[in-house]
Amino acid sequence: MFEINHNDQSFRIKMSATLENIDTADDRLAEYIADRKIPVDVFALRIILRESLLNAVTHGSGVNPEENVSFDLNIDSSKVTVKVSDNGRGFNWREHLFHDDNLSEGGRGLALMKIYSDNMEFNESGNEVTLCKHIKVASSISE
Amino acid sequence: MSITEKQENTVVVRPEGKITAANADDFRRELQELVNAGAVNLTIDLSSVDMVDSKGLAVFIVCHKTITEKGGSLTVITE
Repeated sequence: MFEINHNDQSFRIKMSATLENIDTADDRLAEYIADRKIPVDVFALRIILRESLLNAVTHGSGVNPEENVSFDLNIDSSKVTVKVSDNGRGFNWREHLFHDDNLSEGGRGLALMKIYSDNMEFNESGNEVTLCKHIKVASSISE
Repeated sequence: MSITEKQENTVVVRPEGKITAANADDFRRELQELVNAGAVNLTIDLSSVDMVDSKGLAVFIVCHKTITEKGGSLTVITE
């Protein structure tokens, strides 16, 4: 299952928890941002989408196609807000915020989300994350 | 997924497209097979790759560990 709805202010995906759907979601978000010429760091948003959905699909849903995850993006005059949620039990996100072992195999997802967003907050249980990315101001768009 | 060239004792791998969670395990196996076949110095040329996620980065880390333990080296070209 892969459902997508969007307009000028929002972009929403509800999808089965598969790794292939993450690639599809990324492609569709890139198209949406390009079509509407939204002045935001597209690569940063794509990383945010990929890593947040990867957490929801793998840790929250066990890569089970019977489970669904949601990606909601809203745009206002100053920022893009992304909310990603799954139906899993969540996790202790506080223990995973800092990645300090450069040679560890895992644990980079949250670090990338934090680096590429301007703000990141989890709900208490850890099965929903909200990230913000500022819209580029006019003076920096032409740079 | 990848174009592979052998240049003396160096093997150059040129993956294309994305190295992400959906295909990272396949890419990891591909690199492991090259190392098992005796590749000492491995170069991964990412010039035709437009996206690498955390799972893709993990493949590079694992490959680096494996090949350096065998006395070889891993080089990643990003441009």
